[in-house]
Amino acid sequence: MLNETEILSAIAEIVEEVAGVDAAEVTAGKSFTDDLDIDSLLMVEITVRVEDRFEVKIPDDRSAELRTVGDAVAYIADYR
Amino acid sequence: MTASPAPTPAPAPSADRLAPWAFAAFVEANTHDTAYRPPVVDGPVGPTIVRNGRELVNFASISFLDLERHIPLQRHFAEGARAHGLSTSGSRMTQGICRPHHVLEETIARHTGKERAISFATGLLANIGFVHAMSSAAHFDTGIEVRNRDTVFVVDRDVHWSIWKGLEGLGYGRRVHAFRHNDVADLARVLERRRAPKTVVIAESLYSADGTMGPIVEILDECDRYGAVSMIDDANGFMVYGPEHRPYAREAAAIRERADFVMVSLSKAIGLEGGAIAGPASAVDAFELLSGTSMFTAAIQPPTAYTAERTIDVLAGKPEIVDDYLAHAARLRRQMHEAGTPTLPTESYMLSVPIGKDAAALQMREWFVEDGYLVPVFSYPAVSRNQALLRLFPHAGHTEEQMDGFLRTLLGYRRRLGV
Repeated sequence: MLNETEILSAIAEIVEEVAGVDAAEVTAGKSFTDDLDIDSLLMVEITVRVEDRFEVKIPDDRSAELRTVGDAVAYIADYR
Repeated sequence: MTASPAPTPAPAPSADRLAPWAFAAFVEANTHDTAYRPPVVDGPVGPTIVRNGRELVNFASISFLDLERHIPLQRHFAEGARAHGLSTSGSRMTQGICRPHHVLEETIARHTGKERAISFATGLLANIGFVHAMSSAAHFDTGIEVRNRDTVFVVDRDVHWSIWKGLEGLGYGRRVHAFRHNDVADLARVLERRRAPKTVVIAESLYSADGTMGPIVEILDECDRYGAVSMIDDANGFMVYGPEHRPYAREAAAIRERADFVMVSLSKAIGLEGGAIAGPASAVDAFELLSGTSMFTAAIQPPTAYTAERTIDVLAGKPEIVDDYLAHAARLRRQMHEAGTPTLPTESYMLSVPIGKDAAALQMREWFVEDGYLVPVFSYPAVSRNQALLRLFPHAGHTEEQMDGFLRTLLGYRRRLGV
């Protein structure tokens, strides 16, 4: 089972690949929209990749609540 | 005997049942009073338009070459109606293709440099049909089948609503990906990341959203590099760009010689209504069945198809019609730059004038109508908040006086609003 650091690192890799943001920039406290400049379309792509990578399902209403990278890490850690 | 007035309808009992849809609140909350009960237009639309009984100088007409007032074309339309009827009266799959549609499709194929074209009642139906045909599975009998549910689409974010509508349901992030508007590096990044055996890249030539010409040559280079099929929506460029002496000759040549598919509209330069997809013959043949929007809905009306073919040939044979229009549009663009109200940097005939604040743009729209001008204003949600712009179509029939009057009026508004 992955720990939170490993989840964060995998998310950072996905964000870098999808949005072209340097993985080092992707830290727990960052907001996807305000800090990493990821808009709604990119967010959908990232969500799909995260779902596949971690074999989780993120319903639309929950994905809107995942505002920071840390929110996403916590959601996946709890889900698993 | 006089006809008695129609009785006022009583409120429908369905009104309560419709409450969960919240239509009434939606309509009431929108302050733009023409959004739901558009003004009534009388007479033909051209350089001027009569709306609710008032004549306005019209900068909103997407049929901009002034062909609708051309008497020989009107006669040709009437002749087409007499010779070929008012309607196709049924599907081409059951009855066959009306002669004017057949000739029109051959003409479009010739002018787009493709093997075959198929026409649709509108450009929207052409785009939706294209996406559907490229992404569906059908099994008719042993060996008669296609399985294309694994097609991946990579599209410019600003492609027309009809493309996005066609892609709906294919799964954004799985079979649908978008690249940043006119950003070839981003397209390459998406193609690199999402390598798939069947990939279709869709971009527009001239974007209605901002009047820019897409980086067509570079997009087609990436398609070649990654083995992707290309489709260029040339609704706004068809029969306008192409000849060497006009802008965007390089892009038009690439669309003609290198794009796999091209979509054309008949409602822009051609001044009628309808659309078509042109491409390799075997694919377009299959689209008869697989597009769905050809077989299961109405077609272009025969006199329209008849006149469209004639118009395309006239525009090709008399280049001065489009040349004069482009010079006319370029003059207005130059005057705007000189007067300090520049358009977005594009050489296209669509003039986008950044205004900025949504409130200022909406105020301008009202003032323009009061002062006798119809000027399309794009504000949120059509564009980002406070990135409002005017999007003008100069019309071939506009007089210098009308264009000067518009420019003076716009400059006056800018001063009053401080924008």
